[in-house]
This record gives sequence, C-alpha cells and structure tokens, in this order.
Amino acid sequence: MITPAASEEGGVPLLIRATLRLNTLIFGAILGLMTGLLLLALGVAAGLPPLAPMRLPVLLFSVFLPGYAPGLAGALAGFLWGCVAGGLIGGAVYWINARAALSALDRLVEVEPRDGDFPAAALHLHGPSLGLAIGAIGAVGLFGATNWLVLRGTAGESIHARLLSQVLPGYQVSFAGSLVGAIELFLILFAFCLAFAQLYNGLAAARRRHSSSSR
Amino acid sequence: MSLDDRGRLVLAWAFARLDRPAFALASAATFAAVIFVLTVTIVLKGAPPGVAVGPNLAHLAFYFPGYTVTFGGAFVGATYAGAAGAAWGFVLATLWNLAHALLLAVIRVRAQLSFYSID
Repeated sequence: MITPAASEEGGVPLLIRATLRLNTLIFGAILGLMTGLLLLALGVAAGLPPLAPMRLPVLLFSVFLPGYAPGLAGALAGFLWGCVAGGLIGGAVYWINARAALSALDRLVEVEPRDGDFPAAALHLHGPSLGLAIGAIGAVGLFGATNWLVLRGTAGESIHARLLSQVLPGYQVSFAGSLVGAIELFLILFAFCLAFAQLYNGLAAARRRHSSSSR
Repeated sequence: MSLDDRGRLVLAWAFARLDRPAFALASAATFAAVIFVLTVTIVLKGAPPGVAVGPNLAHLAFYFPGYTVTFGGAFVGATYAGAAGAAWGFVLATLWNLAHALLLAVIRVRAQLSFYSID
C-alpha cells in the first residue's frame, strides 16, 4: 500500500528522508549494542585472573574510553562507551553509504514477486558507497585517535600505535603521519568493502537463482 | 519510472532484508582475508636475527589457540577470523531483518487498529 504522501509530488523525497533517518537509527542501534556487548564481555573476561592477557586490549581502549577497565564496573563503563561510539559509527556508516548509493537505488533493491500490500525486497550492497562510508569513518578515526595521543602529549610513549607503520608505511604518531596513515587506511578499507559487496551480492544472487530454480 | 513506482521502490528499500547466509559468508571471507594479509605482511617484513617476528600480533594466540606469526599461522588465524566474521555477520543481518520485521508488524497493527477507530 502506498501512502497518499508518496504519490504526491514531494512525497518521494520525504519518504527517502524518512527511510534514511529510520535505517540510520536502526543500524546505529544494532552496531552500538553489538559493540557495547563486545566491550562488556572483554572487560569482564579481563578481570578474571586466568584471563589476565586480555587486559592489554582493555588498557589500550581505556586511553580513548575513560573509565573502561578490567572488572565488572569498568566493563559496564565500556558497555556504555561501546553503545555510544558503536551507535555513532554505525549511524554514520549507514548515512554516508545510503546517501551515496541513492542514485543506484533501482540496482540495490530486488523486489520479490509476492501477493500482498507491501513490496518485500532483498537488499544488495553498493561497494563504492560502502567503501566511501567505512573508509571515511576509519580514516577519520585513525586521524582523530592519533592526534588525540599527540595532544595529550603521550605520542612518544605510544608503542602500540607506532606498530601501525608496519602495515601503513609512512604512518607515525604525529599530525603528518596521521594524514598519511588515514589516506592509506581509507584506500585499504575501500578495497576490502568493494570485495565484500561484490562477494555478498554474488552469493545472494546465486542463492536466489538456486531457490527460484528449485521451486 | 513513475512517481508511484519510485515510491514503491523506496518503500521496498526501506524494509529490504539482508540475505543472512550470504552476509555471514561474505563477512567470514573478509575477516579471514584481513588476518591472513596482516600476518603475511608482518612475516614478509621479517625481523632482525634473534628477534621474534610480530610479537604483538602473536598475542592473538590467546584468542585464537594455535595461531602464530608464520605462513602456517596465517591460515590458522584466517580460519578463526572467518568463524568470528561469520558469527558477526550472521548476528548483524539477523538483527537488521528482525528490527524491520518488528517495525513492519507494528505499522500493520496500528493500521488495523486505526481502521476500527471510531473517531
């Protein structure tokens, strides 16, 4: 059933804006919840003596997430941080990806032939848009995190951040190094997203072909 | 494309489902590739004689038993990362589909209720 608003001029842009808002919220909530639970589990596990080696990632995260620490109280702080940070990242990824993919909408939605009042559909991914979204978020994240270390004056002690130069040549814990690293990370994430979208679309199409031929 | 067709397309896009097995498999392959490429890159870069290769990356062995920063370890790490990626992708796609199914159900119930409304 199409709402009257959608049939009027201006209804479609309204529908697009509402869809963007709704799905940004949903994707942000999902990613926020998953990140929060992951940080909670890691924090609780790191607080148990037999799992002490798990303290290292918790302590590294705590540089950026104040209050996050091994043990239940610290893990709960991590859960809250995870919900907020994961939610913001998820929302931003969906928003950038969906806005960039709008021009290719007819290729991204495969409407399924079905009786009923509502058009059911399978979602395809648009590799370049996904790459732009995740690449940009990753690059901004690396740039921000590096310069946070520079601003708080601990750049010289950041041995773990420096290790990134092994996979991102030219990266340093400095303003200039963070720019080089951000560009390289963007390109790497973009390439992985292209491959991911291509693989997902191919697998989903193969499954649909298989299910329609077996009917 | 007419305005109505475009509206239907946008509505379909708003509630479109992710193919869960395909999303899980694609996530598995991507996670596995990341760990594989990362390990092989560190192994190829090597280390001076007497110094361990990738001592920090080797900490992954705590989460992935049997993992080492070697060519063989890259396959072990890729297998574990693939399993983690598959779980992550499956959960994400399931939650996405579930959220949209619930929302659609709520919209349908509200539409039914408003049909019976007396005001």
